[in-house]
Amino acid sequence: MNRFQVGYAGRILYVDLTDGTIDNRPLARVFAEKYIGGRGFSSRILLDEVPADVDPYSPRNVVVIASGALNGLPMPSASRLVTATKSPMTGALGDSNSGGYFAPELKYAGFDAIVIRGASKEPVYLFIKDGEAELRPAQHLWGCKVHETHRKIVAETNDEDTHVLVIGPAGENLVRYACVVTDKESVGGRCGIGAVLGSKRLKAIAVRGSRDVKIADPPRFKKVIDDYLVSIAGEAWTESLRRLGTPFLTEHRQTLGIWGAKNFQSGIVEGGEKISGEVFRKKFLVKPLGCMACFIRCRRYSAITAGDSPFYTKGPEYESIHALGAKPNITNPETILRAHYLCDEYGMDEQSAGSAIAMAMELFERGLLDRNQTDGQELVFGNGEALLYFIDKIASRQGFGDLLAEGTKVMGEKLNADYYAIHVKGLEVDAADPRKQETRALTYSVATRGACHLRGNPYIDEFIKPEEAKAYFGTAAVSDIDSLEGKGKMVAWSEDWVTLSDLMGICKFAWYRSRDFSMLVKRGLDMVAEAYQAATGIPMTSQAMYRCGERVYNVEKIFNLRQGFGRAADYPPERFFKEPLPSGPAKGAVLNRKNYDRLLNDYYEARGWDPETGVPTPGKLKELGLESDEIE
Amino acid sequence: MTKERIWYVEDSENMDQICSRCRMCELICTFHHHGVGNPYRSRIRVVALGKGVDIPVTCLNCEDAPCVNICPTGAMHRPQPDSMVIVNQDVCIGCGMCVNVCPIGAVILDPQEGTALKCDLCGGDPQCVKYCPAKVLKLTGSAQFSKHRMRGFARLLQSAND
Amino acid sequence: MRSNKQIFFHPERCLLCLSCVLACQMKHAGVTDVGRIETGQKPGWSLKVSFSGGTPWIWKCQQCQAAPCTEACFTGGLRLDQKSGIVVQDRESCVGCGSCVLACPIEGIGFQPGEHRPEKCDACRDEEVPACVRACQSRALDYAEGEQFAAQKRKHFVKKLTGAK
Repeated sequence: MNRFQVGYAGRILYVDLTDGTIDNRPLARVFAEKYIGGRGFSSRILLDEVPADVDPYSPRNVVVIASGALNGLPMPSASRLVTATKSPMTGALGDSNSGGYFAPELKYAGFDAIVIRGASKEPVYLFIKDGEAELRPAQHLWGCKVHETHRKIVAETNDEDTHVLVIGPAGENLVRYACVVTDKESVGGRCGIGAVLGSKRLKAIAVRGSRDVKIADPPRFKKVIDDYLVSIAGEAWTESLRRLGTPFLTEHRQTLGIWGAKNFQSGIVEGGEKISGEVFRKKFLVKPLGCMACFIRCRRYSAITAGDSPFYTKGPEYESIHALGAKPNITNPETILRAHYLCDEYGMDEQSAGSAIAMAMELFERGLLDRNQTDGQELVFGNGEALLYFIDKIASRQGFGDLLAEGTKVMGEKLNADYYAIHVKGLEVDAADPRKQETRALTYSVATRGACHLRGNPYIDEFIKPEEAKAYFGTAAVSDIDSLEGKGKMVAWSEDWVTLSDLMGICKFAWYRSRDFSMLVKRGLDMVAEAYQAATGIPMTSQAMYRCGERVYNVEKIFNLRQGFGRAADYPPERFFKEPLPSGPAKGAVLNRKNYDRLLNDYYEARGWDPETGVPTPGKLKELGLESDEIE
Repeated sequence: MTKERIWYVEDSENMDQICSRCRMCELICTFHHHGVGNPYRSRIRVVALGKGVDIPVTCLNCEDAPCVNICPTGAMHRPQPDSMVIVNQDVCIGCGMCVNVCPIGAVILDPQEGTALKCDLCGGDPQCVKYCPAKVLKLTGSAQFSKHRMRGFARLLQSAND
Repeated sequence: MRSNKQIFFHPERCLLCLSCVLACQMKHAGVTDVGRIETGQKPGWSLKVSFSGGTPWIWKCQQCQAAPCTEACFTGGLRLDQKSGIVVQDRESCVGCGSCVLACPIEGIGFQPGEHRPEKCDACRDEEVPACVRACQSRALDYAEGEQFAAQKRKHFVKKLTGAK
């Protein structure tokens, strides 16, 4: 028995869409030990296979779809799929993460990852079942929205247990931020993976398997599951997430005044109480849903059943409310839910869509855009009809939707309005306004896929104890939320540690939600290392595991450096340095450039990267076993 | 005496006590019986109908079980008059007639071994009940379940009269 | 791609018309027109219909995953083909000892009139859909993959339970 068919499925599938060849190879031990799974596999493969001169829409771009190492097992909250490519939004490494059932099913079908190369002349979809794969015609599916595509493919396979990843019309039309959706509900939103698949004319990937994911030591594994469950149940967030889903965060933003309202002009939303998590629960919630093996069950299943066009949808998430509510300043919850549903059906990232429309609204209000340019629409903040109108137009790239479909970075270039494009490296800022503290801004800006709050976890300083701060980061100052001392190191450490969740396939809500730092480390490192050993039989200490996280992060940095993203690309948008928040609880908050520079220096130093260029030093590369990846 | 089985118990007053389709029951069932991860060897499966209807389905422990009646080898049997129907794996020839005849699809053939698999109540300590996050699976006989329903109805009547 | 279909039976739809048995006989006789069966000719068949306690049932080889006939056969003439899910009979190796007939608990394999080697259902391997399934007018015979067959029944059960359409 191949040792790497324990815990792992043990094989990687290679598909060349240009000549239609399909191949698979065993998962090499060295590869598994160094990169673990998920984002580790995808980032390494992309670094090896996609050189700097490749255009994201060219057939030479590669898409990697990877399961985490612990997917497919009864590991709580281990359901996460990674889909990665060179992003058409940024030209940098791009990946998106989604839950549901696709990642486990891929392993039941016998594969840990799929590597998609080339481009097909005609639309096709990939069908994978129990170790075999074939390409099937998809001309009849081209043009179909997400739900319809899924239904049709499942009808074709005549098997309701088929799990399908699809792109919608947005991906087909190369909307730059088109996304992938599995099983009609799990969205791998960011970075435009859907557009790259659209350029390859790969409409969908259907997976069905009935193979075992073997476990090296079942009794040992059972003990970890039980301990892990007790730990998650003990977290206060578990209850909030189950009750309201991620929309519970709306209260936090409202209280602290750090919404990205009106394209990040303001931190407060007037009438923000109309779009709180409680409102969405009361008005639309059918019930909570859970991804595979998840005890938190943060997903919402919502519905609008009255009126002309009723619908059911998974969601909304907090980010839906942020992007389609706060950013365009829309406080009608029904409009937000409908906009969210449309984005899912068209297969495009609601964050980027909302950001593009919000930016256009600001330009319109400032007189930098007029009705002639905006299809006659009065594109002002708060115009819900315009929001819904343009979501349609973006998906089909018609009228002004064609420019909106390019995303804020290109809009900024084309309209000579870079300042109003709130992104880092081309990916729009999400989550919250970071002006209150440079550490948050740093986390968003150094993230390897563009502005993202999910690479690192700077909130550690809200609850870490001084003794813990001293032990882990060398200074008790890290426990002081107002201090910047040692925070560069803290952010760096948090990034490597959070990366592990994407290698293991475990959801971040099980991973990094705690108000107790020692429990975070215990659950996120020790228990997971134990689970990994019990599942695969491969020796793995917490230290070695952490090193894998660091290794993957460095691989991603190298990819970006080769694409020309140096130190200058690790800065937040100018607005955050120039404009203090005008009102609300965070009034006056603004980033200090000197402080940010110093923090970035600390971060590079902590990482073992050159302070001016951000290039990993030879010493650091050697430490991580990446000597052959030196940048000239 | 009524026969015991795993039954799905939703609480209509509490939307959190509804199946969330997390399928942990499927995973823990296979893990308990076979020590691997594979929902397709599970003896309980969640049926997703859409529009928020997700119901786990497993053996109802029929009084006059068609699977027992049809089994040509006697592998499918009830050890005691009041126990759950179980499969003797040493005797089962994997003919699939029990799969054919079960009215609710609760019996399957093991995709690895080919023999019949069905709920055996984990010998008395059902794992799916333990690990369900929504606490919607209960070990219950039909009498207990009726009582539960009657109590709920009585409460409803009382609150209507208040 | 491998498709592991089996023949399933819905007793509640069976009309006891025995068209399935006739179709099987025609297959054995090698005719497609029933008029071509000669007077006195008794073609063999691989499936039987019974009616006990008011319930019809189809008896044929079940292509068992752990088939006793394969173990009883000492020439190796019977084996389960993993790809098709059919217990395949190698008539060259068969010596007609009848051990398989004794071993089978459901009379799925049997000696046909005038034949020295026993015969069993092979789900019409040479065709897309078995003859009996094609012949059944009330869709009591189904040709499906086992996992989907059970899944369909579970779905039907839940629909009934919840009143969903």
